[in-house]
Amino acid sequence: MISLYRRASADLARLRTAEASRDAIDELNRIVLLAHALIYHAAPPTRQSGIVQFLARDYPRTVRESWPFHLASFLIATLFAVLAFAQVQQDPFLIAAVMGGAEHEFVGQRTGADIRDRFLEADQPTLFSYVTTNNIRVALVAFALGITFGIGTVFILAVNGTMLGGFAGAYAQSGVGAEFWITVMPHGALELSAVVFAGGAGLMIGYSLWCPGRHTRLESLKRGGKKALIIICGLIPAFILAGLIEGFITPSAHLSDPIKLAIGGLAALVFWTHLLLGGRDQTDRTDPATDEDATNASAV
Amino acid sequence: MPEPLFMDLLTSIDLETPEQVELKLDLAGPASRFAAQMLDWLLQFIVIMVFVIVLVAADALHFMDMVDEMQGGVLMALTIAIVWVFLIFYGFLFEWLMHGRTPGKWLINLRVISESGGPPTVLALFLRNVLRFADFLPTVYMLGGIVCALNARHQRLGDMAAGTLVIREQAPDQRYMPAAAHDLPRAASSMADTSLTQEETQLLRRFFERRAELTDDARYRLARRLAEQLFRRHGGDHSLSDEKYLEALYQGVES
Repeated sequence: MISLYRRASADLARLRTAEASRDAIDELNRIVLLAHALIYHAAPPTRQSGIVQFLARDYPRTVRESWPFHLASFLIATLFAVLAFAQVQQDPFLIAAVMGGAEHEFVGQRTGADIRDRFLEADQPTLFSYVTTNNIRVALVAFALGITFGIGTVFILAVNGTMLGGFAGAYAQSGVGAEFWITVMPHGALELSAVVFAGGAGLMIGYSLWCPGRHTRLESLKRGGKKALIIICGLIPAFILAGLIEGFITPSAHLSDPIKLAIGGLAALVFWTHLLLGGRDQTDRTDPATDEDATNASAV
Repeated sequence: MPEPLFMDLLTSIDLETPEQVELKLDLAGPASRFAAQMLDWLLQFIVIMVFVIVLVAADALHFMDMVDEMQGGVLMALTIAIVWVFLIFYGFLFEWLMHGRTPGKWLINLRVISESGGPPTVLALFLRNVLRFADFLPTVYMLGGIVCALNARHQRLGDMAAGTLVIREQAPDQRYMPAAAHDLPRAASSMADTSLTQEETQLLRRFFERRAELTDDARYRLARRLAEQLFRRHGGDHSLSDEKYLEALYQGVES
């Protein structure tokens, strides 16, 4: 195969110099191109441990390395949540603006039972499916819009922060704020964390465009995008877990509130522990940059 | 060699292999890429419609009555999940499983490759497809289309971040398929040895390339003319047919 490829590419070069028939050159070009892809870019053998190692090591490491972005993401979302909370306290009709005209549902007296009913009415597997797909979509969009120099990501974070703060404000105004948080927190602890990290990944892409450093903007985008993508891929299992809790635990009529909160808290604890500690115990791979520098130094 | 006028509209880039041979890649422009996208949309629409019709029909025929309420919920959840995965991960899944093509790209002969000329990594495919959300803005890929049209390599934002290109692939040239190659005498190894000039070699090559397409009469006359002229210059054994003589000349077997 390889010797055939060598001969074919040598022939191609010769045909070019000889200005042979254009069709022949094009055809040989096509063939050599295919062979080139096969020889130089053969797919690396897929490791069985690839995904496990990715989730266990690469993903938490990348998240830790990029903590300032996640902090920024958290602050942006929180800022808008607090603003919305305060505004809705003053003017309950504002929630209608957030929800697009569904004020009859959200304005006026509410009881704790109302909140629960909204969840209880729903068909559980459907709720799980809907919530999970929707959350993953929001995360993917927040990430993708990072390429608008981060502006789109900030917008998504602001919208989601405003929604949460607005609802919390509206329910608090009706005097059932505690009920609201008890209902939301079992799945929310995990779900909101994951959304914040997805926003952080989007901000990372935006930052790589604003401040490319020593690289060209394009090169910087590629690097930032790759790192941010690792975070997004790692978050997908977390969204599915959050969806499971929101679909089956939160609306469950059989479980008491403390048990629901305990399950949600446990899930969030696992998520955070993994992020903070995952991949630390193994011997750290040598940083490629320093490694390269060392080689250069020894060569000099 | 003068290029046809429309070639100006086609962009290509050169890729240098480690053997220092330049390979030409034809890049796909925004128009053909959008055409592929529309075909993909059409396919998505058809698949979802068929899916919905089957579900509605199953419901109308009281097929669903057999499953109790809870399982009905599971069915609904599965429907949402399947439709959603199909719509959101359509590009990624097909480009991954079909080696850089979606059905739309396959119909228009486009393929996603990495900037280095090989197949893109799975992560690169995922990245370029997630960034569709940004390229789609504000609607129907306006942002991606503009970026793609202005970019020298016709990359949309997702391609730039993932380091991928979309190229047009040429269909194999039938004349060089094994059947036609049979008509071309093996010459590669002995080309340099013959006393034929470069022009004569090219002339012969073209003749061999085309002889299968010629009418018997034209093929015979052309072979005769070529053989007469070349015999005058190079001599050799011309006792067999004209074409046999030309083949022998071309192969450098001057018996």
